[in-house]
Amino acid sequence: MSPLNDEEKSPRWLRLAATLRAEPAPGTMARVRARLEQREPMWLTWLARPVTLAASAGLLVGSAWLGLSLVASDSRDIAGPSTLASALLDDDGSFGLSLDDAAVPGGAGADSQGVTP
Amino acid sequence: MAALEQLHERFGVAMATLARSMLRDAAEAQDVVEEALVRAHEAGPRFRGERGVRTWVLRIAANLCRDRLRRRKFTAGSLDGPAPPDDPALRFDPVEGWDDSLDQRAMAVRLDRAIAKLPVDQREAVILRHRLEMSYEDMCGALGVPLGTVKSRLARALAALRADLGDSEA
Repeated sequence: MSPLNDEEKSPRWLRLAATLRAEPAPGTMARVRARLEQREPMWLTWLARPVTLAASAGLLVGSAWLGLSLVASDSRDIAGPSTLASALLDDDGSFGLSLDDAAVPGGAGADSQGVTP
Repeated sequence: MAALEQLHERFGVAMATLARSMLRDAAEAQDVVEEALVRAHEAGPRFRGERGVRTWVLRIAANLCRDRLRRRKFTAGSLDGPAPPDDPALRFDPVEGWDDSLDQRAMAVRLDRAIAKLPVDQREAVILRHRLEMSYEDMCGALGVPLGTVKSRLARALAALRADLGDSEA
């Protein structure tokens, strides 16, 4: 059946659908007012919404992560020079000074292959 | 509060009829009407008037009915209890110019039971269209679905009702 012309094809008995009506019970408005009075304040309801809770949890995790990263980067800055010194000491103990050339009088550097001017 | 009373006065019957027809339970339907009025009152400031107040409040009521039915875990509605025209909470307004040889009340009861057996989306469409006499456009607003969906739900509902009741009686 085409949905576009269901109106023309409606049987007569379908008109009977409109014969039934329900009335709200007496005292409906009094109960509605009572419900409104018992209702939590709107902001509390808003705060309790899942989206709000998820957003708050996200913010908490985000700020905790940011705080931890800041603390970690600060301590890395403090530890920086000592770490560099240790690395240099571990390397050859010379702190970058060419001690080998100074130790061999008139000698050539290790990379000169014994060639003298 | 004055606006709320207006809502109740103007649309209370439509909301009650929708809830009662969808849920087939007087107490639950009354609860839906009250809750719908409370929600309409709370959502009042956000109302933008795109589809009219009637469509808006019926949408609130329809959503509440759907929630209740989902919680109940069955869709057909109870077919027990008093037949609608004999239920004091329901009003029976006979169709004028009806063929007297056909028992209008008995047929209305049969039709009501057949509507109750429809799946929720089709039942909702039939009630809004044929019981509350809404336009297609307003139905789109009340159900939150496009026009094509409204029409196809109605067509499927009508096919099911025809199969249940037959074409020969009227």
